[in-house]
Parts: sequence; C-alpha cells; structure tokens
Amino acid sequence: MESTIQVTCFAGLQKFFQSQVTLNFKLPVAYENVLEEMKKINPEAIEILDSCRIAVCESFVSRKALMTSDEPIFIIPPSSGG
Amino acid sequence: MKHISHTPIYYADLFSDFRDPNSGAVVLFSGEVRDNNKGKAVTHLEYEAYEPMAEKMITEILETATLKWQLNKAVCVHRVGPVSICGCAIVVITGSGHRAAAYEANRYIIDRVKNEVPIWKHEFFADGTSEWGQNCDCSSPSHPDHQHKHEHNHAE
Repeated sequence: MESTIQVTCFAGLQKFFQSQVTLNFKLPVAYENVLEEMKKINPEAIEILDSCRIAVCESFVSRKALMTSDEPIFIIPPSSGG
Repeated sequence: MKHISHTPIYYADLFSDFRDPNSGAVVLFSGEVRDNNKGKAVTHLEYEAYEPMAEKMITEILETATLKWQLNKAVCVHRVGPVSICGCAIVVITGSGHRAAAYEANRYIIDRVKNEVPIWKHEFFADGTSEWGQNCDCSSPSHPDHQHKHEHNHAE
C-alpha cells in the first residue's frame, strides 16, 4: 500500500516546485528516492536537487536512510544566511 | 530568546542587555546588507528560514560555543523577511573573560550559522532581477577569507 508524503520546498527550489509537493511511495524506501522523483517531475531542478539535504522532524537525515513513516519531509537547499 | 526575528534587530539594545560582570571582553558581529554584489547594485534582501529547525540549530551552535570557549553569554539573532541596505541581517554577541575566546567563539558561531542553518537569502537587484543566494564562498581559493577552516562537514 502506498503512503502519501508531504514535501516542503524552500528558497530557490520554489522556482521549480510549489512550496508543498505531494508524493506517493510504497514504504520503506530510501529518502534519496524523494529527490529522484522530484527530478522526474521537473528535470530542470536536477542541479539544485543534487545540492540539497533532506530534513525530517527538524533533523537532517542521510539520503540513504530508509523512510518508514509518512512524516513530512523538508528539502533543504544550501544555506545562504548571514 | 528567539533566534529568528521578523522585525528589525536593534543590536545596541541587545548589547546593553548583554553586559555581565564576569565578561572582560564582549564581541559583537553584525552582518549588514551591502548595496552591491558581484558587480550589481542591490536594492534589498529577503530572508527565508525553516524556522523550527533554524531555532533548534542555532541553540545547539550557541551551546557548543559556550561550552568550548567557556563563554559567559552568547547570543545570535537572524532576520527573516525584507531587510533594506545597511540593515542588520544577523547579530552575534559573545562575552567571555578575555578577548581571544570572545573573538574565536564569535567567528565560530557566524560561520556555522551561515553554512549550516536552513536560512536563505534572496537578493533583489536594481536592474529588476533577483537571485537566491548561494552557499558561503569563503572556502573558495579566490576569497580573502579562504584561510579560515570550517569545523563542520558540508557533505551530508
């Protein structure tokens, strides 16, 4: 059975996606599949997606880690604060 | 204290509140908005943050710096929303018994916040274009600050 995952995009990613994207996955699946799915949706975003990190529950997760629940995902482009 | 502010940062007020009888040295860094970048005139900046995570990460960075340099106090506040030219985008204040620790800790905090915390700069130019800021380029060989060493890992 597929789970629906809410993905939030920030900053420069919003040139390519809405701030909220909904994806469906059969869990468990590696977080990197979220980025791969988004690349399919908009291939122009490949470069920026390759530079992004993924956060869940306000902590970074490894791309290779397994997503086992439908917790919302946050795609974090390179920081440019300060 | 909240580390993300939607309203202007008045660092003189923060500095006054910061005084501590144990601190012989207080260093204040203010990151301010320049009117130019890469040869283009800048009209203003807008900052966006993933606020819950930014708050959490800045808290952790301040705690780490306080422990490492035995600071008496450490503060960091970053703006979100529009910031005009000469406006304060971020302030970092560190206080310790002696100046070396206050300076080093201040540099450590601003470097980590700029490079790690999910906050993004959107630059607006006089020619009507705009651009999302890129990651800190201070580790590039051409940058005058190339010699400083990041103590964190960019690769996640």
